[in-house]
Order: sequence, then C-alpha cells, then structure tokens
Amino acid sequence: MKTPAEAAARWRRWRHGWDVVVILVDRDLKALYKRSILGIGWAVAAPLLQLLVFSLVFHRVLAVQVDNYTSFAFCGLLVWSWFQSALSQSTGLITSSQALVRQPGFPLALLPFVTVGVRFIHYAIALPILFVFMAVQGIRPGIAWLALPVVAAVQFVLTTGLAYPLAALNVRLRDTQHVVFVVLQLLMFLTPIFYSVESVPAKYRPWFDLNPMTVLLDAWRGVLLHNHWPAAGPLTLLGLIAVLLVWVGERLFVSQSYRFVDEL
Amino acid sequence: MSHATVQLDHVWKKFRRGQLHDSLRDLIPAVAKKLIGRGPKADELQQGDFWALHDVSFEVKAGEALGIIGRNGAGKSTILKVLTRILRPTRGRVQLTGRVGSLIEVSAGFHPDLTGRENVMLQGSIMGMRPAEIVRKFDEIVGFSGIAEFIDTPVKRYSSGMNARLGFSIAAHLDPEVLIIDEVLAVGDLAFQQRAFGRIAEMVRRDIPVVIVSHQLERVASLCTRAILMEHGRAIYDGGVTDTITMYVQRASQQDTETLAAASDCPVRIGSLNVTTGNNYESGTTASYEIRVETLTPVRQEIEPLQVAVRDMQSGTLVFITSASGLGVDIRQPGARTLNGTLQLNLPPGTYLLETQVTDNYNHRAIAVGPEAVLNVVPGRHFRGQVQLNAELALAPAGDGVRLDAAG
Repeated sequence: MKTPAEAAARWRRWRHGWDVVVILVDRDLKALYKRSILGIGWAVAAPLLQLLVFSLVFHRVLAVQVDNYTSFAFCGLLVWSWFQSALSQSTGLITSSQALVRQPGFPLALLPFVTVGVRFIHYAIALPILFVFMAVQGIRPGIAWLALPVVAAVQFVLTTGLAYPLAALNVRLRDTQHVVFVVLQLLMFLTPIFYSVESVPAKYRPWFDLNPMTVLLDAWRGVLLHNHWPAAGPLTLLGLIAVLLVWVGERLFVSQSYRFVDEL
Repeated sequence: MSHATVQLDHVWKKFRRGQLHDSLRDLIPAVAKKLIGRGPKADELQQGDFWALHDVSFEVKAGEALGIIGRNGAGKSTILKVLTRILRPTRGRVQLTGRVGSLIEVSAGFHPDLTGRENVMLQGSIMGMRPAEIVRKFDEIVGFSGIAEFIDTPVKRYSSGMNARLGFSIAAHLDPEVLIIDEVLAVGDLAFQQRAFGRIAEMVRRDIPVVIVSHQLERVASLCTRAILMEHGRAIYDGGVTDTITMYVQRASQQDTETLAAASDCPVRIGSLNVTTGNNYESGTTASYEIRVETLTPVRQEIEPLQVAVRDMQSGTLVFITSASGLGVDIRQPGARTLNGTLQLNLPPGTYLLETQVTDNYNHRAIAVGPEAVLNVVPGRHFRGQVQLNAELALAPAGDGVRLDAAG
C-alpha cells in the first residue's frame, strides 16, 4: 500500500511531467518557426510538395491504379511523415538536448513524448487539407471516424516505444542516427504509401504485413476513406506490442540515462 | 520546517581519463568480452580509471548549511552531480527528497531563439514550478534579475552575465525544500552578487538544508554551519566551517599535482609551492615564492607547463594570471627545476589564493592543478577601490605656492 504522502508525491510528479511536456512542445513549435515567413505553414506546404512529386511519379508515370488516388496518397504520406519525422528526430534527442540532460532532476524520459507530440501536431495541422481533397473526391465522414483517436493512439505509443531504445543507443553509438535515416528512407518505399498493398505479389505479401506501418496505414485509410471500422485483431496486437515497447523502452532508457552525462 | 533528506552513504564514483569507446569497432569487442564474462567488473578500477569519489558519506539536516571545499578536480562538483542524480554512483547510496532547488548551470536550459520571458516560463517549469506559479512570480523574478528592459529580447543576444542573472533569479524563486548551489555567486556585478548572497542567506535561515560548492571561502565561511574538505575524491575532513577552512589553507601548499578527468596525461608535475615571505602582506608589498617543477616528457606548444594565478577568495574570480612562458622561462624540456618568483600585491585588502596549474592554451582549461597558497593582504597605505596604484602625494616646497584666485 502506498501512503498518502507517497501518492501525493507521485501525483505531483505526474503533474510536473505534464507541465513540462506541454511547455516543451510549445517551445519546440515556437523555436522551429522563428524567423520563418511561412512558419507553421510548412506543416502543410512540405507534404503538399511531396505529394505533387510522388503522385506524378507513381500515378502518372508508373500508372498505379487506386480509387481517389490523391486522397489515398496524401493520407498515406501524412501518416508516414508523422512516423518518419518523429522517429528520426527522437533518435538524436539526447545528443541534441545536452543542457536538459545536465539539468538536475529533469525527467528525461518525457522527451520522446515531446518529439512525437510536436510531430503529431504537424500531422493534425495538415489533416484539413486531406479533408479538402476528400471532399473534392466525394468522400464524406462516417460513424467509423470515432475510431480515429484509437488509431492515432496506437501510432503515438508505437513511435514512442521505438524512440526510447534508439535515443539511448545513439548516445553510445552515433552510428544509430545514420542507420535510422537510411532504414527509414528504404522503409518508405516498402510501405504502401503511394501504391496499394493489394498490388503487392502474393509471395511477398506476408513480409509487407509484418511492417507495422502497413497495418496502421490500412487502419487510417479504412476509417478515413471508406468509413470502415479498423480490423480489431491486427490493431489490438499492434497496440499491445506498442505498450510493451514503451514499458520496456522506458525502463531501458531510464537505466541508461545515468550514463548520458558521462558519455556526452 | 523541512522534511527533506540529503544523504550520501559510502558513495564511490569511478571516472575514466580520456575517451570511452566511440565507434562500433571498439565497442563490439568490449561487449563480447562482457558477455562471455571475461570483461572487467563494473565497480573495480581498470587501467586509466580513478576514483572521483572515494567512500564519501555525509548527511545534511534541516537548518544545516554544508559547504564543500577543495581544489579543482578534488571531487566537489561530482558530489553535486551524484546528489542530484545526474550521475549514478558506482557504489553506495544517495538520498535526496523534497523539492530540490539547484543553482547548478542555472541558465543552461535556456533556448537561445526564445525571449527572456519565454525562457522564464520554460526554465521555471523544468525546475518544477507550475505555470500559474511562474506567472504569479514573474514580475518578482524579472525584478530580481535587473534585466527587465531586455525581457522580450531573444536570449541569444544576452551577455553571459545577463543569462546567469536571469537563471539565478528563476532558481531563487523556487521555494525549495533543499538547496544545492555550485559556484553561482560569482556571476553578475557586485550589486547582483550581494542580492544573490542575501537571497541564499535567507533560505538558510528558513531551516532548509543547503549544500554549497564554492571557491569563495569567505562566502562559505559566512553562509555555512559546517564544511567538508575534499582531496583526491576523499572527504578528508568534516567539521565546523572555520576548522575546515583552516585545514584547507594549511594543506593547500603541500598538495601534489592532480591531473583532471578530461585529460589523459599530463607532462608536468608541480611538486611544491612555497611562499618564502609568509602569509601576510601589506597592500602594495611583494611576496616571493619558490616552485619545484618536474617536466616528465617534452611539452607541446599548445600546453602551458606552468600557470600562476591569484584568485580573490571573496568573489571567487581570478584577478591575475601569468605563466612561465609569458615570463620568458622555458621549462618545456624534461628535467627537474626550481623556480623563484615574486608578485607585487597591488591589491585591496582581502584573502587571496595563489594557484598553480598546467593549462591547455587552446581553451584555457586546466589539465592539472598544482599546489596552492593563501595570501592575506592587509591595509597598507590608505586607498579604496580595486587596484593599489602606489599613489604618491606630497606638498610642494614652501614659497612656490600660487594663490588660485590670483592666477592669470
């Protein structure tokens, strides 16, 4: 049993953690777009430019056949960008936050949440553009949209769970950030962003299904574009794996965090 | 009344000189050795390791202010890092509970692109204040720092003094249950230092346990109730603050050269420093000293084999720095030598520390610190101010006087 004093201390810790996450997200958003004309508008402009080039290549040149291609591709692109930018940024998180690492009592384990959160906000800001594309292509919101928070939560937790070990490892081995960069680049083409997973030859298909981003993209598109409830089995499994990853990752991260000052 | 505990229980901390393995090529063999059980045990010394803390224990009770003194590299700052859990002890236990106010690197968390105002919110929150609390205390914090007119300027345009003042002001308004201070009193101008000192003294009076690491012996003497003397990672004396300071002063000149953690080896050993003219000087008089130095291997150009400096023990600042090379003495080739030097103490009355060290010319950091000696400067001919300029003033011979109103 916990004493009331311990419970109060725990409550204060959680509240402080929440305060810190909010203020750091705010700091990152402010600092990211200081002295920039377009500012947070880049959250919209960057994926639009990508969409322009990639849809030209995949849709016009390679003639990928999918209904409502613009909405399909843009949905995939946004979801993927959130994952990719959050993961590549959190890998370098500790090495680029030396001041916070040296701050006595600073709860370092909150940092991955901050990065994944900042990137989620970028994603959320670009979403209305997707809704415009969808409206133009005649797609209407439906009851299955109620599942969106769940899908977003699974992706949030999964990304954070992957971020912990990568950020910790990168302190020891700076090779990590280069490996992550390359792997994410390659994974982008192995994830059905600009093509449909249905068009993958059957003998490769099981490998594609192992990619958690395939599962997540399928869920996002099912809900947003087709008003389908996500398949409960794969998403639940992925959710459990994600929670496990955060649980193990956070412990690993905290146990390693004593070495960060030594090694930075 | 504070319910905080501050306790170090037989704490050891191992450091390694130079670099850890940085790339995969070095790491894989090390990990492999560890896996098959042939690797070194984590809590034993390997080649190149040393104990930065060697079995250190102490407890600070409510109403006690503990000063930690000792030379650079003796383990003072390591104690604070272990205490605040930035570093984990190799062995032993650390207890620190309650809301901790730490005046360590107080402005390090500032984001250069954000304004002072935004950084107060940020840093205050990181240190444990609630947003509403920061808003409530905001004017007080800014007023204390004395930089109100620049509060909406990005912090990157601040001078380092302004940075430190703002950082200190935030930390000083934390209402902590434990206070941990590392050498921060040496920031800002004299007026700000006085204000900062007053603020800390007030917290000590409120029965908050306080731990202070400082070079400013006079500050330690007036703030602390108790002090620990660190030498080579060991707490060699723990007692009343006056006794500990006396002990430090007595032992300072007999210390051997100590190579600091960041440097892998040091080509010079500074064996002894002897002030031959005693400890007490009238302002403007000259002190003579003798230094024994042994150069072990040829000293590269970017290293200064002997730096001599005078530190003001009240402000903690270095008031004078010179070096063997600067004074035209070449001790770069191997050999044992004795050097004789003098210093004319054109200084205001106070306590000064004569320090010796081997310095990296590149970043002006110490590679190794040598023996030290205390110099007490007492009033000589009357003056006020920061430098004794050996002023002369005399009456002109009689008869040469000219009445001012008669001139022209």
